[in-house]
Amino acid sequence: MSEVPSRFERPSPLAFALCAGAAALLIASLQGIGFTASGFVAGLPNMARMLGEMFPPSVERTGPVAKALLETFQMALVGTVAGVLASLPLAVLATRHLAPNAAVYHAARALIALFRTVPDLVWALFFVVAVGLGPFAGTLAITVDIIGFCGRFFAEAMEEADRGPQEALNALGAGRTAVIAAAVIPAAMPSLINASLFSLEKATRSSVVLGLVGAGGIGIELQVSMDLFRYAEASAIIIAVFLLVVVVEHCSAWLRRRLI
Amino acid sequence: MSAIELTAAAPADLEIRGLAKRFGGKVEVLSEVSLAVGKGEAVALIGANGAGKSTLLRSCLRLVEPDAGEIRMLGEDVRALKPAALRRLRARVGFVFQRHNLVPRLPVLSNVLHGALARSPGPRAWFHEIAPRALREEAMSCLERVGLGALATRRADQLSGGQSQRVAIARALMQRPEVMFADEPVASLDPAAGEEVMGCFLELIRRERLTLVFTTHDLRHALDYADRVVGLRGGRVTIDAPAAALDVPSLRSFYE
Repeated sequence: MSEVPSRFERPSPLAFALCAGAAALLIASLQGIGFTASGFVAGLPNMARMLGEMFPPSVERTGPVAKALLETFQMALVGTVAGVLASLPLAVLATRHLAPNAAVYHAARALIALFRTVPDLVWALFFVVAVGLGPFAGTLAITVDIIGFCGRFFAEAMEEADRGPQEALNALGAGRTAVIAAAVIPAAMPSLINASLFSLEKATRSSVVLGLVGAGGIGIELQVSMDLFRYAEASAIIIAVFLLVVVVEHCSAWLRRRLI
Repeated sequence: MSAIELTAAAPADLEIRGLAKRFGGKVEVLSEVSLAVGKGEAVALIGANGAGKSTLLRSCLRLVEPDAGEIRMLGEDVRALKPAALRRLRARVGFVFQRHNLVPRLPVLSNVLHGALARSPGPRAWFHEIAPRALREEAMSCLERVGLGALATRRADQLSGGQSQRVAIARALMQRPEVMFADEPVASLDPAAGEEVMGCFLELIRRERLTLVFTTHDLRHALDYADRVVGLRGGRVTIDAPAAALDVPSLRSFYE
């Protein structure tokens, strides 16, 4: 009988060195962030006290909170619609077989990558300086963020769309725009709807935090309550945000089932 | 002057000389293919898989760019055409694919309407909902000619294989074509549906007096429906004879 193989293979020197390096990096990172178990334990009573003060949530500022919540949703909705509409032509240019030439394709891909990799909070800071404090700056930030997200997903959906109908329309003399409108977009529609609805959910969550940098929405209300130690107010805001996100997610799931 | 001269006695809708195509610069798919198809003539292209039948049909509309040779179709030097002129020529040639190639999520009527894309500027022929009345009526009439008027609003992905291929034929009719190409039009259908679709297709071709070039593996179809049979082997024309002079056993030996 052949010898039973050992349970584990001996790692190569390179694999061993890489593992050791990764472990060293993790330990250095823990030191870098000032992580201490004692610090965490010492913070627990503060957390408990804060949680205690959060309940029951305060309903004193229901009016302003509801108004800010509505503004948050409006930012998400307008930013998503604008972002989705802007993504469509950009995604066409970022689809290899639909772009007019390689230079346009690479430029469109680079623009989408830029929009996607810079976080929305950074875009919000930029637009606050450009157009001033308020929800308009936040909406622009959401728009750019959604272009980065949808641009990529739309382009992938268009690249994966069945080429058969496209070839058929090319064969009967249709121009590029007609092929895109009549064959590519209808074929990619389930993915486009999916990505758009997911964008609305994502934008709703983003628009909550954009207020922290003065870009409108309910974030500023939350920040003021926390800064003034009004934890009962803060908990009311957090619950309102939670409800908004849950409602948007449910509506989007319902729409997805209806449309796809 | 073009190197291809049409003879006055038999005006050809399609004339091919010395056509060659290699894929990846290596694999020779077509070599020195020459062929003429007269106006109103029906030609069957037969040959084993990989013999170059589909590439030949696609080359005629430059869906595949040939490497060498000349193609003259409907009076145009196909290889010399600029993109806009090529689109105008393509609009005059119906092409029925093996897989119907309908846009799956759109209604049948919109798919038929697409046959008018080349002659309708803007979005008028994109979707039937926004098309002008005259175009919608023409699309409906094309659909009725293939016997599917009742399915106009059904989504294309809810049709059977035979129905889909009939809609593809209606889309080609919507082009008001002068020449019709069909690449194994019934190969993906079961025998009964295949006979039914082929019968409907050929009936329309005869009624409209269209020039037809179709590829097939069904030797019976080649002999029954074509005036002439052209056989390709290894990318070269090795048979070019009237259908009446051929029979199934002689064609079968061509595959051996």
